[in-house]
Amino acid sequence: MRTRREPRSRKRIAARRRPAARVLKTVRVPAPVEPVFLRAQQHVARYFRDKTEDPEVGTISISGERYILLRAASMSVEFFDLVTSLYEDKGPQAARGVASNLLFDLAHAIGKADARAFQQRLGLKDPIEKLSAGPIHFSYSGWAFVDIFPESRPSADENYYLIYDHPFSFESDAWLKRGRSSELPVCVMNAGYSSGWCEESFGLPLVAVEIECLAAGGKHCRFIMAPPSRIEEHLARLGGDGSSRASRRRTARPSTPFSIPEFFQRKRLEDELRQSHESLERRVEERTAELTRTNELLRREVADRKRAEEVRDEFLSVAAHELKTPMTSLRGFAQVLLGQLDRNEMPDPQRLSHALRAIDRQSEKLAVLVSQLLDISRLEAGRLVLERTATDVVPIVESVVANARARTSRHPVEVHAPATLSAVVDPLRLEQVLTNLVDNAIKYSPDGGAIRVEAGHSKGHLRLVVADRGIGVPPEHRGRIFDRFYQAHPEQRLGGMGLGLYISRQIVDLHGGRMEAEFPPTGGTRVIVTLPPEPVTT
Amino acid sequence: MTRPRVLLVDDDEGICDFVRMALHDAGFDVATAQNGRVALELLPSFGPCLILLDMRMPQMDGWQFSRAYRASPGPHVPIVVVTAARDAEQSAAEIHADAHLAKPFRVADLIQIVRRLSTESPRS
Repeated sequence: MRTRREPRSRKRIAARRRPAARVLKTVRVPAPVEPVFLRAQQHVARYFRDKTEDPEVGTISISGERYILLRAASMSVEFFDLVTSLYEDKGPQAARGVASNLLFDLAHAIGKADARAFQQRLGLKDPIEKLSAGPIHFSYSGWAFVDIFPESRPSADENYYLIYDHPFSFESDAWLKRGRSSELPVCVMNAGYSSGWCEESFGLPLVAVEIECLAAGGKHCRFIMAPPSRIEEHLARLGGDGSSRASRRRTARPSTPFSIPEFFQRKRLEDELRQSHESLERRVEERTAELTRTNELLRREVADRKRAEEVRDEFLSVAAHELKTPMTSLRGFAQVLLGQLDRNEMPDPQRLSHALRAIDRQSEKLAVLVSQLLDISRLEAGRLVLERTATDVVPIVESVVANARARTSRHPVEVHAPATLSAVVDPLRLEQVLTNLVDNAIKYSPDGGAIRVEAGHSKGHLRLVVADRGIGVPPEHRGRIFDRFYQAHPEQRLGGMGLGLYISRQIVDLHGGRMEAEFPPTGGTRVIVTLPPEPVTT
Repeated sequence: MTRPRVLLVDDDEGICDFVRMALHDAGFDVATAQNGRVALELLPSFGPCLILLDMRMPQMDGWQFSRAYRASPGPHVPIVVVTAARDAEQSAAEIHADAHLAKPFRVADLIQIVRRLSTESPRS
């Protein structure tokens, strides 16, 4: 075990040179693994011994493999300078990042490829054997001498850890030879190549970080190598209080700031950028779809509202027309009579009676229209309240029929009812419903025809039927006859506001009953009302 | 002495009733028709000097009547639109009527319009 690790001079290493077979001279490693490295040294030495240079055809070959020679400074200090000048506008930090990434990626790729080619050529299988050729190959190819510390643990798992020096790194040499120094470690290619070789040897992603660099004011070019997931832990240990005795003794705390390289960081950034683009596009698409949906909803809402407004406008127009018509007669008769009085004439009793009856009839029409409007207003506010009481329905039916007979001579009105028929209903509202149904029967039988009113029980329910032989309702309109403002035959100008059936249906619904319309093939309309005998609590 | 004749076309019995009374008192003979079709049938025999026309009626409304009337051989007498619809004036313009009365109207206004237009000579 060595107790001190000072960079050895080239002379000292040269002095230690002994026969290659017995002495390890192209690398320094912990004693237990020396035999493996000795074997590797033999293989590598043999490999490099077979070297031919033929400048006349521009080739350098080693054991049949072509090599190229690169001037070391062009791949270190001069490369950094070039990139710095190219990235002048982005600042030295950005330039350094670009240069380091390029050099690291390139060296890491070369390291991996060299390891694979060399290990295949020699038929090496064991990871340590595979690793062992690397540092020696490294020395022979002029990158750096490798001095691996005893606390290194090159195991083929996440505990893999190497700590080593490059006493004669081609990179720091290039800086120092020009009298230049750097704020950050400069041996980027060395870190890349070594980690590439070891990664290939162990089948494990590895990264190397230079924690101290001669070109950055350090005493050594010192590196650690570990899986990317563990490297920060090691750096923290070396930099903090948790350092082992060995590393406290031998390893100076990293004296310069360092950065952890990432092989093909560019690809990760590109992927992230692309993913962010894709996710942005997806979000834009989602938002667009959402906006389209919202837009469509709004469009429909606007259309619905417009339709509702049109219906309301039409209703107001119809309602005004319906209210003005009886009002015109009322005022007309009053003015005709007043006109006579003004002329000091006395209207004859027959005319007086005729006019007053007309006034009475028109007032009643107005009253019905006004109560319909009030009912609509109550229904819309949910304030139409029934006053239910035990009622004999038959007198109500008879009274409605009697009133109807008084209004029409062209429509014989038949009644079919038992002597009594009791139910718990709102008698006034039930009368309103029946009156409306009979009025409709008359209204929609403009050419006359019998009207039949039935009252009875069916399956314990009160059943009322009003049937006419009138014009009926065209099949396409039948689904809407109970709608508010709906008139089955607006073209016939039969009058009304389109509220009667709607209000009647609502009153029946409030009783917990049903109102249905049938259209027999023989013509006309049958409206059937079914009411529960007792109030149904809903 | 023959009284000038007025034809009232309206489906509301109440209105027909009092207009007949009012115009009778004012010296006119009045015939009524409950829609345009009945009016067209009555016209040749009755020969009014003026037509009072409701617009919304079953079977044949005011618009259909005026088209048919204008298409028939003349001479044509003035038409007064009498309607409860909001757009009495517009309806009158649409059928090229000579005047309009919005329901409910003053009997005095009715008589004044009828007197004014019934003295005009019939147009072709």
